[in-house]
Amino acid sequence: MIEAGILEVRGAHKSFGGIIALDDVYLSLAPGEVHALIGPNGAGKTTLVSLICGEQELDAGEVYINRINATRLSVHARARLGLSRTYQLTQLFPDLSVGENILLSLVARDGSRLRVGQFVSERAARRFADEISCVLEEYALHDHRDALPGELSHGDRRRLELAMAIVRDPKILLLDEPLAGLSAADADALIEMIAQKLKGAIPILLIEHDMDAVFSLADTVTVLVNGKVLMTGRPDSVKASKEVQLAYLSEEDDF
Amino acid sequence: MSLRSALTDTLFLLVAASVGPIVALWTGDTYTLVTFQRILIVAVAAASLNMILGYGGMVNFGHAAFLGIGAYAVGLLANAGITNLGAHIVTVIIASGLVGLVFGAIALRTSSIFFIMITLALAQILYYLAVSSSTFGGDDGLVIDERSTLGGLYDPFDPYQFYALVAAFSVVLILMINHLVRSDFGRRLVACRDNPVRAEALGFNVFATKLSAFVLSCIFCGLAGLLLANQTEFASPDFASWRRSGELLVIVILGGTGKLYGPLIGAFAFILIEHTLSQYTTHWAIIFGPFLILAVLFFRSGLAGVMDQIFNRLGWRVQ
Ligand SMILES: Nc1ncnc2c1ncn2[C@@H]1O[C@H](COP(=O)(O)OP(=O)(O)O)[C@@H](O)[C@H]1O
Ligand SMILES: [Mg+2]
Repeated sequence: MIEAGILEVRGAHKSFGGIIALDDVYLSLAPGEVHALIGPNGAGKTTLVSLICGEQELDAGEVYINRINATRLSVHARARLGLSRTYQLTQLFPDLSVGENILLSLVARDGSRLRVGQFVSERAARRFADEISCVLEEYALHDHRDALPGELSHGDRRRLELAMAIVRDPKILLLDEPLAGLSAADADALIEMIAQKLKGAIPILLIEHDMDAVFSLADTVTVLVNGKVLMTGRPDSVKASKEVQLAYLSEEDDF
Repeated sequence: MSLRSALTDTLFLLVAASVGPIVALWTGDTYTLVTFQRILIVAVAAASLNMILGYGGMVNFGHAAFLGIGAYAVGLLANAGITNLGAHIVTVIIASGLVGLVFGAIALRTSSIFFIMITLALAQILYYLAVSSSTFGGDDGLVIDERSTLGGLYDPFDPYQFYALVAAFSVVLILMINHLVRSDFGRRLVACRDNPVRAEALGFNVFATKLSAFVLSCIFCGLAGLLLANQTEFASPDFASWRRSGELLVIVILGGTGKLYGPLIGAFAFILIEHTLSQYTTHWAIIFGPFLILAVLFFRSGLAGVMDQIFNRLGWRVQ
């Protein structure tokens, strides 16, 4: 091995009953790169992300996070190694206010382990109050601090989830279709934000359907079709590949 | 903020605790103290259940088992000549903590309806253990010869002194439970209930968080059992029966699940209604049952929710 990536998936296999969702998948995320994972619906992209973060178990293969073998680690243990993610269907704390959602993420940043002090102290809310304001300002959510996530627009909810994933200072970010369901303006703003603030600063595995977004943001593109990696390469070479065009890009109109 | 909520809590609890002596002095009937003691003890048990049910989403259908553990621990110690309250407290904490740890570790492998069934099954094991063992007095239970003593500082058989001890103990326990709910730990617990997927993805250990809350809640219920044994001078398998567990659930829901003052209000309402109705008929449950169903249907956040609304109208802010 020449240079191990900050996130490595080696020989991942996963099947659900008779369906083979992933078949011998290799993926390597280099420090600082935006790595796009594309492929038609049902290709296994979301399954790959949940295997990486430990929500599902691999049938075979290994996952390395920061060069540590994480294959047998729990979801929270992998998160503590610096893995952070957003979901295709946003996952927030629905009964807690927007401010408290951010608060929990800040609490997690400063130590997600249980400690005796937490049973005694009730200071977290006050300690992080100013920082919560800054985060809400930054993500244009300051008008909704006391609102519940369910009261937000879809775009605001996406931004809230992204904010929660980012403020805990992760080492690797996994974004599962962050643009899905966003209005054109919201999507542009989000692409702009990823390009300005995150690209280069933190390695990102980006699952996305929007080809313009993928080819403008990504340093590397992996094409997944029917659970198999069809190709990994630079965006222009992926775009030029006959194989990829046949298997995937030609179907773009379908979704 | 935290000082203010602690003061509000204390004030509220002291008012609740002083109802008993006021009624007793008014009517000159010290026996009424017994009813109000029971209310406070049951409020502690219900508050400990509310901590995991209302804030942790754990429907423990075997919670009363820990009333039993607390009561039997006191009974066995007292009948062996150890009557010191401190020794009783330590023993009850250890016993209910350990059993809670085992029960929780098993039950928390599951969720939803399976969690309910497993907690019920585990509690039934303890119930039958108590019923079938001669050490525990079998069906008849255990008559306790001595109440817990505080080294001659107080007379456990003086009605007012004993009431004061039970009230002080209950108030402190409920204050501790309320503090836990408001603590940084309490917020994590709510997060783990609210969305375990997101909580794990943030790096929170959902299992450990829930298990910690479960064990603490069992300890608080065990301490309520300690008080119950003192009050009744008796440890009965009935304390640990599934009907008691169901009663605790009803009290929490009636009072308002996930409301800090819910269990106390629920305990007052439940026991006073039961007390009043049972004077007229032994079939009081036939009247009480439909009342409960109506209460749950029309007051989703329980009696505490109704009180919240009244206070809000008056312009006060509670909780
Ligand atoms: N929990 C599951 N149970 C059964 N089949 C699943 C499950 N999750 C995913 N699959 C199947 O695995 C394949 C890949 O799904 P997914 O990873 O969601 O694809 P993508 O995110 O690329 O659209 C699909 O055929 C899907 O039906
Ligand atoms: Mg998907």
